[in-house]
Amino acid sequence: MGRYIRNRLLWMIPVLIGVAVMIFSIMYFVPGDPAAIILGKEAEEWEILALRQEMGLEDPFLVQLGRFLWNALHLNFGESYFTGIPVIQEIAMRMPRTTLLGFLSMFFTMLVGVPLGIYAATHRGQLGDSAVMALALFGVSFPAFWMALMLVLVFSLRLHWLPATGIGSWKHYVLPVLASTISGVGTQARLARSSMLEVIRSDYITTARSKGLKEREVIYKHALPNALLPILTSAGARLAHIFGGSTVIETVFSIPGIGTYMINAVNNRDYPIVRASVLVLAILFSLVMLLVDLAYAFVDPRIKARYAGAK
Amino acid sequence: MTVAKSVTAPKIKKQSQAKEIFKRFVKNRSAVIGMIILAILLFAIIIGPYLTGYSATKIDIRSRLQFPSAKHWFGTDDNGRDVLTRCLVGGRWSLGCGILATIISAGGGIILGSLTGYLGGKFDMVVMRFLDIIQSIPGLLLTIVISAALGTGFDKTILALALGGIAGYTRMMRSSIMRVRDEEFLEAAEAVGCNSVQRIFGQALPNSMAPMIVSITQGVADRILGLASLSYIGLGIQPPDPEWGAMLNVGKQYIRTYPYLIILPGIMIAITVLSLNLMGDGLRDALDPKLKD
Amino acid sequence: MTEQRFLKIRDLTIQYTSGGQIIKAVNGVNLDLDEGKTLALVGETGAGKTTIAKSILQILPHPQSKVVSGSIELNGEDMIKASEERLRQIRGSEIAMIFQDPMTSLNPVMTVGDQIAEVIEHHQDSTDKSAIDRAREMLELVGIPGDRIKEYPHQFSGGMKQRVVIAMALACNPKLLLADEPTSALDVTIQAQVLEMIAKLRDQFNTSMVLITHDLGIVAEAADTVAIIYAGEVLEYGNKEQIFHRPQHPYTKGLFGAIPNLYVKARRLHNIEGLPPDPTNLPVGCCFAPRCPYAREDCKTTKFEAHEVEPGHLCSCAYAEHLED
Repeated sequence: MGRYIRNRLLWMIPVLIGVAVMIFSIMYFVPGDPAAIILGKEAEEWEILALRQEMGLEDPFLVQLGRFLWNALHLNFGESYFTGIPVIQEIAMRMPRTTLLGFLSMFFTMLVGVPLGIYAATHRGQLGDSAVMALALFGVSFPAFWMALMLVLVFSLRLHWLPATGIGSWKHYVLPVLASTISGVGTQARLARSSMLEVIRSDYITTARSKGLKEREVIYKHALPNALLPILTSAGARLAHIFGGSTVIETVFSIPGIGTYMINAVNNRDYPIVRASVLVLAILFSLVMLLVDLAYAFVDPRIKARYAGAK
Repeated sequence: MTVAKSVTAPKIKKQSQAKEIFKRFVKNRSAVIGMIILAILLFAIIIGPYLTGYSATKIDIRSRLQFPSAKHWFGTDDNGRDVLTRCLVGGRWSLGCGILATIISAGGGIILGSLTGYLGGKFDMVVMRFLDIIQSIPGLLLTIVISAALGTGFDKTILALALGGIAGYTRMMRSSIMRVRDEEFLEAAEAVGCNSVQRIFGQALPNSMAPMIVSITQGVADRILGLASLSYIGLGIQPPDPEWGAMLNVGKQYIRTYPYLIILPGIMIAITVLSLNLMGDGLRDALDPKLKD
Repeated sequence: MTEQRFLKIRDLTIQYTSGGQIIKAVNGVNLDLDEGKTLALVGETGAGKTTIAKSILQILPHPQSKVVSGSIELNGEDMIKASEERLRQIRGSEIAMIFQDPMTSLNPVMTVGDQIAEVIEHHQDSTDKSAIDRAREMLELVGIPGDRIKEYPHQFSGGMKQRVVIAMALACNPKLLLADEPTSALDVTIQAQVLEMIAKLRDQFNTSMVLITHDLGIVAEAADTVAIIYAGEVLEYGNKEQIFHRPQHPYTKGLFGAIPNLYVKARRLHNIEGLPPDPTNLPVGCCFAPRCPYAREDCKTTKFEAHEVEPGHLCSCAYAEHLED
């Protein structure tokens, strides 16, 4: 098992290097010259060229790429073109908010979505099932950021219960987390339901019933552990979704997290920030997927055996 | 959710498969509702803008920011344009982008997946590792970055929405090709000399169609949501083009005073996505009754 | 036949609903089984054999299936009328079932030991320790080393898994064992071993058995009485000798092909022209009439009751004795 964790960690390295290369390349080919943008419209051509040389933008692509990777390895992502503040410093400050937001959203999404899906699956065809599924279908049909706007409209602007923007007390987290959760619960409940139904239909559940177990035992002892496996994987996917969506949710609530940082940078063509933000979120996501995989191996003896035996 | 229930035990008499699927689809209440909503919606966004009597883009400052009324059912926006007309025209953008982007995604995925699945070996490995890398960037984030690199506008946004989705379709196609190919290899030991390319694709393509079609339906819904997010944060489609997300981007400034500017486009998105999801669910049930709720 | 039997099924009728259609899976089945004996249910796939077996345990898929009428009495106690609580006592301890596919009938995330011990603990009020000990004993009984008790199903081969399933089924000394094609998913070489073991253990524990199969070889080896099932009906019922040597029903004759000989290896059912009837739309008359080469006009319109062609040998074909005419 220790070996598996090590291999899995080692495998992250090429993937992350790949991500870094890809992000760098995409941003490299973005139209528009950062030097020209920094200097503004009145800049002379020689001024721009001088700045380009100073920024290393005149070097060949591979040299720039190598420099980016080497610096990234040392957690040096350069400085913002506009504020001059080291990117890593900003990221360190903003990271906890985005992570907290992401994990809280995921936690509540799972907390509500999974039991709802399991309830629906075990009450298949009954009124409760239909109600849960109808709600879930509506939930997945609204854009999360629009849901966020609606929450702001009701709870901040009309009722004045919760703040609409910024970050400070726990109250600031309520609406963003709620918005992410509402739009995630539907997907999660649908996934949990279909995964549970799949399991309930399987032969070993009939076997368990034929042993004379109580329906409760059949569901919780035999069906649930098996149904949880795909649900676990979906939790990882959900987190990716939340991290991706956090950029938009943070924009709605003006939360100074990685998302807003990146979006502003995208609009300003502040490339070091964009590259660093994406890379950091990808690292975070990869780590979570690693945890999910480990948890999976822990729960599923088939996978555990495969890894214990693998190289 | 659905009327029909599946039973595994007795075999029902064999019918032509397509007919059977169609019958199940039509019997599926949610699928039919979804299809009807979508049909009405399509009709409205294609014909509707000609009937409202307003232009979606012509500025009319004198009638700006009017609440919904008999004259302007959805009110007017900050430039005095009829919001209903804009919502309808916006549907052309949203649905058009969503459908085109999904077609490109699925097409790319089918081609790439077929190649990797069929060729295998080094090519397969390289592509799969590349997909690993792509998929370790959260989806919307990747779309945002590509969109930032490509720039805004209809065609570039479609490409940005399409590129990130290719990975998923590739994996789907690849695994179904591989499944058939593995079986094929077993048989090939006995009967050498058959045209395996034809047989592999002849078998794998129809087999993978069912999950593909369902996934494409849901892909359109997902891309409409993605597009809205993209436009909302200032990428994607730019005002004054009336895409729903772009309308929300403008409308958010008026959330305190003219909330209808954000409520109505959002509801349009929701109705569209809902109808696509209903259809997707119905299709899934019709194509594979075993997976049914 | 009103006397009490070990297992007595009368007029059993079961329907499924699917897509708004009613599927008549089992239609007025009568069956008897005496203690320590084996009854074989023979028929094509989809004839309703598994449904009959599952209905004895009352584990049919819940909302879709419905026992419309009939009774299933085990020592005089009707399973259909039994309370859920009583059924839970019976399942696993008095009646146990072996399923068709050992690859899927074990819970993949539980050790085989726990899965065997579970049924023991559940029915015998035993402690964890003694249940595990008993599970180990059972494993050894079916020829698996006891130290593999902590292993998971994926670590066993198909044949071994079926042994585990058998160990699990026999762990509480059930009076009745329902074996649903216990070997059809296994390799031919392993089939014989597993069958032999089932037969040995059945004799050892004096267990009665309902054996579902479409393999005539297995019937010849293991069964005492045979019921030929078709479209949810018993077409012919009798002891092994009667069915093999003096088949009466055209369908049975068809199944055995031209040479109904107990000692000739006719392992495969003979193919009969045509398809079984659509269970949503069964024929009005005899359910086999559409495929029957001897069918007469009234076969298509009249449903004949099964009658005794010789003591203990029932046949639903009215013209069984006059087929050659």
